[in-house]
Amino acid sequence: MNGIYNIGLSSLVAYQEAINTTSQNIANATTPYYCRKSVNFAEGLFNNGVNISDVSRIYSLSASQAVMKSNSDFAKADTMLNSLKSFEPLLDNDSNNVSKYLNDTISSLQQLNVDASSLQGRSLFFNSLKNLSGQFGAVQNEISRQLSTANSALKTYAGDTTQILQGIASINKQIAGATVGEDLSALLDQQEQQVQKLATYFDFTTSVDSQGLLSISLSNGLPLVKGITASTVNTAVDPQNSTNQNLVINLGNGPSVPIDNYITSGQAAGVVSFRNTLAQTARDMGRLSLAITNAFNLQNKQGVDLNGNLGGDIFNDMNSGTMINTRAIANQANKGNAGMTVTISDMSQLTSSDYQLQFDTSSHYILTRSSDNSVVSSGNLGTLPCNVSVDGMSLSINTGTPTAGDQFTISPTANAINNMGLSITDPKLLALASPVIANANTQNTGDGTINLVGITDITNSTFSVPKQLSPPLQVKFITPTSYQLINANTQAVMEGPITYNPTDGANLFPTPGGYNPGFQVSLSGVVAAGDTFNLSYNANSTNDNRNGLQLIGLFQQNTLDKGTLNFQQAYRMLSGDVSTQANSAQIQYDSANNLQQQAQNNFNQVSGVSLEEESINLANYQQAYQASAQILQTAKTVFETIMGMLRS
Amino acid sequence: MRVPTMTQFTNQLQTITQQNLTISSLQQQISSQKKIQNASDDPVLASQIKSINDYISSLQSYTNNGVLAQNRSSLFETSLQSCVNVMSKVTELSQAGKTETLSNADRANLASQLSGSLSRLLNVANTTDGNGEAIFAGYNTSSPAFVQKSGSYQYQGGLDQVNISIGPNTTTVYNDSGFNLFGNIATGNGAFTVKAGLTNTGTAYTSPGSVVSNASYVPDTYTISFVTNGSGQLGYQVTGANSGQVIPTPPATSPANAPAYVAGSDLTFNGISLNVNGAPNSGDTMTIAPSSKDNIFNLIQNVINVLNKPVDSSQDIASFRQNMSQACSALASGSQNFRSRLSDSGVRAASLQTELDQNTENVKQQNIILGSLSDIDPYEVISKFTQQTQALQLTQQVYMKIQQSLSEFLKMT
Repeated sequence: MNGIYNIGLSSLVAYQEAINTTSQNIANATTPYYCRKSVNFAEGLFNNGVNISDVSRIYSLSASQAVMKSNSDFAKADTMLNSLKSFEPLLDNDSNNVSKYLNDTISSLQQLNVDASSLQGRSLFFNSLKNLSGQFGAVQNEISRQLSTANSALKTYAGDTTQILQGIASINKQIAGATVGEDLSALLDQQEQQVQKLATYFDFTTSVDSQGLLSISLSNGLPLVKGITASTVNTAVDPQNSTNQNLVINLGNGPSVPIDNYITSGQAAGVVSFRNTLAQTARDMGRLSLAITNAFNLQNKQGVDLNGNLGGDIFNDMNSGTMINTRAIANQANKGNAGMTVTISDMSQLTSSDYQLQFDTSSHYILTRSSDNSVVSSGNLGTLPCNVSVDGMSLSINTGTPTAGDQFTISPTANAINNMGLSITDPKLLALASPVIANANTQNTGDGTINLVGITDITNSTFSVPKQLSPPLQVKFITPTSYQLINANTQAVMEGPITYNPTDGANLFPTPGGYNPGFQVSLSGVVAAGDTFNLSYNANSTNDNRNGLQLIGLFQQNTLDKGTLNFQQAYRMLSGDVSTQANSAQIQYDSANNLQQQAQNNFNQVSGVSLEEESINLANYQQAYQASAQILQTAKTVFETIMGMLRS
Repeated sequence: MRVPTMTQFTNQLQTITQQNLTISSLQQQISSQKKIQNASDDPVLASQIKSINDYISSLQSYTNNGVLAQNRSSLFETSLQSCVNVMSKVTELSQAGKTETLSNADRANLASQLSGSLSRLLNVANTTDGNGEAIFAGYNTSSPAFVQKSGSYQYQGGLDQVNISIGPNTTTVYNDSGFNLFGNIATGNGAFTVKAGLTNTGTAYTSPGSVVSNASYVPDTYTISFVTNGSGQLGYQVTGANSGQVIPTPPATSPANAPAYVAGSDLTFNGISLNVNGAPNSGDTMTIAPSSKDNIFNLIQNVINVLNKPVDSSQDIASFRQNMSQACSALASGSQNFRSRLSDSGVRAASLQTELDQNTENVKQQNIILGSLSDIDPYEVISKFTQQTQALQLTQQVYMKIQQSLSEFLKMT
């Protein structure tokens, strides 16, 4: 008799529990990372009904790890894609980009060359140069803004992840303190959720120790959570680049350990990778700004402005005392006091890479190009200054003494845009004319014509006194086939007689080994004896646009990248790099998205709740529960029947 | 195989999201008519498009300059045509002025007509463009090319032409040098001038003469002196400043050996041939000097000055003949200069037109290429769009069906 009661009771209790479990499953059908529970029934011994042997949490460690990885990868791809997509228009916007301003500069200069004396035309061209450098500034500002956004993002990540790590450690603590047989599944689900969230920040490895506690460590083994202790994640200034913050961890009271190198995915890796793109873009833009600055300044110096003076710098001097001191950045950990300057010496050889200068001893340096990690120069310091010329820049280590292990980041291009501004404010100072006027004497009887080929050296003493040539020159033909070069002030013969061949024409001077006035002149046609040609300073020729035509020519010259790129091409290249990265970020995003979906599906395949399944189970358990109740009812009826028999 | 409810949901969601994304990108393509919205959509294509855009922009600036140059070129042509017209009037008037039967008043009248022509020509030389820039003043366009200063006309422009770029490697003249056009004209017959001695008492005069043999021509200042020779006849001697005595041929240098002068005969020496006429007196001289260069205005002014000088005596007639033939022969080379520059300018206008046509054609071609690279094929995109919206509807229907069947199933159990 007792048996029936026991059977009915045990089964009633068991199914109630089963219904509970199923209900919990149904309730959490959409809870992320909820692992479904499965009820295992066991037959009671000696006809003792049914027991629930255990409620198991259906969980696969490998499926969970796959989700973790996919979460990290997706978070990185997502961060990269969003960052690059928002950065790209800055370089590529149809109405507002460097390319457009370069085109504007070309067309306003073309227009100005039609009337070089026009103040309005000069203003237009001047403004187009201002807009051009303004656009460089706009890009620089945006890059700076994005860099500081990246810093604050990393700060936020540090706070978030510290909190998550503490959460995981505190769950570990609860698990460690749990009594035997206590249901831990809710805690474990919670921990799973935290771990998966952590995976969106950066990648790590997990393991479960003998006590069943989750350990988390970085790929190199640095522990993030060990038992019930969690590390703190912080940010610290990058010793090589003080504008950047990097993620570091602190174990207890231990020292900060930079972790950037051990992180390959997650939002943090995405931010760092985007930051590299920003830095590369800044260097590429920097190099282009240097090339433009250099070309325009050199050409303007070879001309004469509207006031009749030799031209000067249009843009700020790229090798000013301030600039050459800002290109070498000492590592904050340096112990020595070596000082150095970096001068840009050859624009076509200049790369857009950074360089690492390392002193392996106090008297020996190694210079490594960061873009390909190749050693470009190394040697002993010797007596200072120690000059190193490589890749179009001249590094001069000129003061102090380094300590072995000291490092410097050499950045010839990174800060260039900040310096790119117009150094003149008056459009009259644009030097569109050429300093030398070459004319045939108006009384010549021959028909030889003389032309200025170009200024070869504006620093020549010929141009040392304002508004004149020192000395003005005259070419005087003694016979139709020979001439002398004469100082027009003193009539002294400077060179000659020199042979002239009227059928070929000729470059008159400088002749090899002969007098070199810093410019080149050619003559053609039949010349009569006694004909003279005058070479004088061009002080009043307001409509002369010869230097203006040279300025236009700068846009066609391949001045960058070992003579392979002109300004427009260099810009297309650098903006193309960003759009290519955005394009591959899109591809990575799509694939990471698919992989994440797949990993989630695999996880859910094991642990996810199927409402159909649970509904069937529920119906099943409900019927069993009702039947169990019927057992008790039956037992009761049987008992009452027996009692009735006894009464009667 | 279990299909967890979450998976069903997320898979559906994923599919619908993906389809919506595709539809939205197609929508963007349709509304912008461009294949790519951002360079990252297709970096290679984007770079090609940008490169063509830059190219078109540079061609455009060349074309702009080309159009300006063309306007300027037709201004040059009109100016040169006026020069040629004025010069033919000047030639006509000065030829008329040669007629010896005219009265002094008639000559003065012709002179004033010539003055009118001169100022017309001066106006042409000082033509300014819409911006007030002198177009024949080379580099110095802010003041007139030619001005009258202390009785003569002077060029004050630049000696060089201003060129502008009309193609990647092509420049063309925008401001011409007035010196080459108006200012560089040889006096006399182009090689030498002949002047009668100031103290001549006879009535000798010469033709402009010419260089008959370039090979034997020796440029020099020659003096023809009329002397009485050994036979008591009027003879002549020719002496060069550098060449020394030419006639009579050395060593017979004494005046006694001078050949007899025959009026109207040609004198030929050192590559020069010259017709001498009239009746010189012994002691009279004629000077032959190499031509110098002068501007057309001074040359016309010379003719005017000759015409304004009264012709009364027979000496006056001789000097009138001499001066008039010299002045008129210089005008001929001036006219010739304008005519050849006019035909040059026609050639230049034609090559300018060719360059401009090439640029325009090139812009057109590049725009066609640009269109084919960057513009969508509307039929293709719209048919894709239709396909995608249908697919989306289908997915939505499937989703509804599954939800319906799930809830019906739940009701049943």
